[in-house]
Amino acid sequence: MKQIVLPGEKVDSRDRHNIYVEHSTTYSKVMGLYDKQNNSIIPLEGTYVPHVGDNIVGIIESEKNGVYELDIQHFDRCLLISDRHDELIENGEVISATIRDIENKRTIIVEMPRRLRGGVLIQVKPTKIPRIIGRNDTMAKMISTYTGTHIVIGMNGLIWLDGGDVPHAIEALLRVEREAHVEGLTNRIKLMLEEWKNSTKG
Amino acid sequence: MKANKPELIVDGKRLDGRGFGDLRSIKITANVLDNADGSAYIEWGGNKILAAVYGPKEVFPKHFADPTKARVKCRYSMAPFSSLEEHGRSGPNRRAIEISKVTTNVFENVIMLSEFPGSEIDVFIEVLQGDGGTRAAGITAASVALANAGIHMKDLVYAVSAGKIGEDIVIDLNKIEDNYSDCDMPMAIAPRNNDVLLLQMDGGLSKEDLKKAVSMVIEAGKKISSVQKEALKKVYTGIAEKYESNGV
Repeated sequence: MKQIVLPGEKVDSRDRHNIYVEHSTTYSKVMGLYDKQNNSIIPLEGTYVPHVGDNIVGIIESEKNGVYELDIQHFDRCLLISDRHDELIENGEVISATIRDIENKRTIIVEMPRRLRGGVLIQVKPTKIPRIIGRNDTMAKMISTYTGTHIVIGMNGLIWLDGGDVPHAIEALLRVEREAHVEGLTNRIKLMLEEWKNSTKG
Repeated sequence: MKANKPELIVDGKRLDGRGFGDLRSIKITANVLDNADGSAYIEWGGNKILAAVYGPKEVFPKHFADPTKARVKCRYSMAPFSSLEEHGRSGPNRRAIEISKVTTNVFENVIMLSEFPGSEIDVFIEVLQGDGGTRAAGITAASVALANAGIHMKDLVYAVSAGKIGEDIVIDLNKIEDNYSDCDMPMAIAPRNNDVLLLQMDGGLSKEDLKKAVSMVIEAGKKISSVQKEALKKVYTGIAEKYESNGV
């Protein structure tokens, strides 16, 4: 059973991202869901904390000598250092990339840019992204197969969609964001998607 | 002591019928503004205050950025229509600048600044209607808004004022009591181990009076804390209940 904990509440967790230790007592530093069985805290709100290897989605803001600056809706600077000078990415283009390095905790360096042409970009709370992806990609895959939409999820909270039934896919994603903490979500989303599928057939 | 001072305590009761240690009614609603990262609305007696939190975000102007820690920027302001007197114009005045500064100091001590280096956290406290003790109510609401924004912090701060009327120590002074009391002392406390984060005093208290006032503040704080926690949890339990009752 999960319970809501608030900043300053005593918890018994080893999840060092969401706790702090003072006088050998452990306290939560976020508002989150505390799972007693595996001693984890899942934050309910908050900004994106970048990690090496994360996939992010961003918009190209400017370019200088092959170094692109990306807008990823985060207070850290995000740079893409491109070695392919023959292929220029234009300002305003949406790309997805992988974080290679975080310099001085302030500048995010990304690599392996993938262009995302056309489509729609939406923003959700970064803390809800793990739920939107689901365990082993199940949730994102399910929405993608039912609506026929190509979905690219950035850990920073930006999601790019293209093709298929985009409005329904967005509605499903926003519902996952809104109800991420309520149990039995996968079933509810599945029910909703099936209902849509049947109504479009008939 | 002011001339024609009204009688503030009649038959052992205060003007609004409260006992010496009683709080006014407190109602907090969290997550009221969509554009803000976190927000809260508090109705504390006659006070009506809106608090909004933005961040962590890029520092503006940029040269204020600190590469080792985040910067907290609080802005307390009273709406021109918030009070019966004094607040004829909008914008910061001497009093608002002082309160903004002490509020900043309160939150700098609970927010984990080193986790968001080079960023800025904005806290806005907007008093829509004031009835004494607005800085305390503002801090209480702002701390709910900070938790609602998911900012990493050590504790959920509350604040309340204590005071002295004649020979009696009272808690949570309203406007009239504030104006004519012998002492008014707002305090902000981190309830985890009762760290004092703000203590201002207008008037004077003896050593014994101060001890009594602090213990009354801590006693009243338990109630304020529970209202704050209730408000934060309600944002999420409200959505959950909708489905649990349906049995889905």
